[in-house]
Parts: sequence; C-alpha cells; structure tokens
Amino acid sequence: MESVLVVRRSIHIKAAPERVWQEFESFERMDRWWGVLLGTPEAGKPLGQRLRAYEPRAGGRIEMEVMFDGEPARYGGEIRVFDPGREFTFENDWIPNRGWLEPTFITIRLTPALGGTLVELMHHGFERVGPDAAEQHAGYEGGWGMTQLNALRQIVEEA
Amino acid sequence: MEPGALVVRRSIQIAATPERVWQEFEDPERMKRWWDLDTPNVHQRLVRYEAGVGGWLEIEGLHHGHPFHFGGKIVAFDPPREVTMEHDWMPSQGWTVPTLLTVRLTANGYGTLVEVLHHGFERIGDQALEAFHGFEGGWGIEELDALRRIVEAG
Repeated sequence: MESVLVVRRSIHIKAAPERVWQEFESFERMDRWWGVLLGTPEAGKPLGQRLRAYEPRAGGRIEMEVMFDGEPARYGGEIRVFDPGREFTFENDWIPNRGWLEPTFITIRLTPALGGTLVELMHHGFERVGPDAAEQHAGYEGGWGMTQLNALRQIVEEA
Repeated sequence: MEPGALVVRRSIQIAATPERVWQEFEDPERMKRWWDLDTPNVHQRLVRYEAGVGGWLEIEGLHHGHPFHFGGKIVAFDPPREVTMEHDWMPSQGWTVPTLLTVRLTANGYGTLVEVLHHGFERIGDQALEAFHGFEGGWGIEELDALRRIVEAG
C-alpha cells in the first residue's frame, strides 16, 4: 500500500499501544472517539463524523457519515488490516461511489514512542482515485483535523 | 534531516518539476508571495529571509487572533530538494533548543510532492509534547496552497 499522496495527522498518548488499542475493539468504544461529534458533522469541517457501522476484524466493515451539501453522505469500506496494538487499515470510498476509480485507504498506526504511543492517522492511496488525485489529496489535507485523535487521547489518558 | 517520532507533516502535490518549484525559494520577494498570508484565521508576514546555509527565515503575525513571531537559522539548503531551518519563538519561550522546520521536494510521476515537516520537538525539553500537539493542531496548508497556485499559474 505504498503511496506518495498521504495526509498525516499524529498525536502522542501517555499509555502503551495495547491500552490504546482497547479503544478499537468494539463499536461502542470506537464510537466514543472515531465517532465523536463536536457539532453537526459536515464534510470538510473538523466537527467529527457519525460512526454508522463497525465490525472490528479484517474483512469487516467500517462506515461513517457526514452532511455533504445538506444531505447525509456515507463513506468507508472493508477493513484490510486489523493488527492489534499496531495497525488498523480500511478502504475508504464514498457509498455510493462518486467517481473514484479505486478507494483510498485510511490507516491508524500505533508505535511505541517516548514512554507512550505515537498514533498516526494516515489517509493515503489518492493515486488510485483517478485523474484528479492531486486535487482530492489537497482537499483532504485541508479537511482532516485533530478531532478524532484528540478524543482518543483524552479517553485513554483520563481513564 | 530525518525527523524523529514527533513530526507534524503537511503536503501538497504540484504539477511542475522540483527545479520549477524551487524557484519560489530563491529570494525574499518570491518567498513572500507564498509565506505572506491573509486568510480568515491567519495573517502573517515573512519579515526576514536570507537564502542559503547560515541564512535566516523569520515570520510574524496573528493565528486565530493570537500574535506569534518565529524565526531561525537555515541549517540545510539543498536546491531543489530540501531547506531546513531552526524554528523557535522570538523571544524564546523556554525551549532549550529550537525545533526544526523542513520543506522537502520529491519528484514523482505527476510532478513534485512538497512536504512541510515540523520536527525536533524531542529536543526542546519539558514542553516537547505540549508544543508538538499545539503545532499539529495549528499548521494549516495555506502556504502550500499558495505555492501550488503560484507555480501552476506559470
């Protein structure tokens, strides 16, 4: 899954990767941070996203939803890597498809660092979507905020 | 300079060669065209720029209404691949050493990937994690968007 067009956000959490990973283990736990809402979720704004489906295993589904031009818009796809304590990767495309030739990927990677865990959120594979890959990458580089990672950190560090 | 674990990254793909993109790094007038910003959230000016190793970059402005003033010595200047400078508050706010700011150009099949990497937070002492999280939440892509518009316009 090597990709040149990557959007990356990161955070450091004062806990072991195994502890952070507990927050990936069920719909209810995932919904507390990946589905956190700071307002009505809207495409391109850092207000969060609704978690609509989550089957925590390789081959399972993950689906989210935000408002897009006043209508609910769903996205997500198949979970490709579910490697406890290390990596979570899923295909990400609009549902239904809006013209991307192939889905992008979203990876959340956990790495031990500085006595805790570095959590990296990487949205990649924009090369796969077609001729407007650079435009799509730039749009998501401007759109991804820290809403989900901040919530994950708060949940883990305050527990 | 290879970043450590604590790195903030922003990136953009530009439809031009690294040599063409690098022209915008060559003197203060060209640098100001993409470092000077007036957006709803960020107003900033490149107040000093001396290209080359041992040179200097300094920016001043308002970020969401909060004044800031950053600067530092240029420690790597490798046309058309990389410029790295020290990046610290002016005056210092207690970091034991400055962080580092790298702009890296990498050619690919579509043109040039431009990455801004703010790193070296491990070096600054007690404020490392707080500063890292602050800048991860603070960096936008306004400079990179402007660079792309300028280069792709001709």
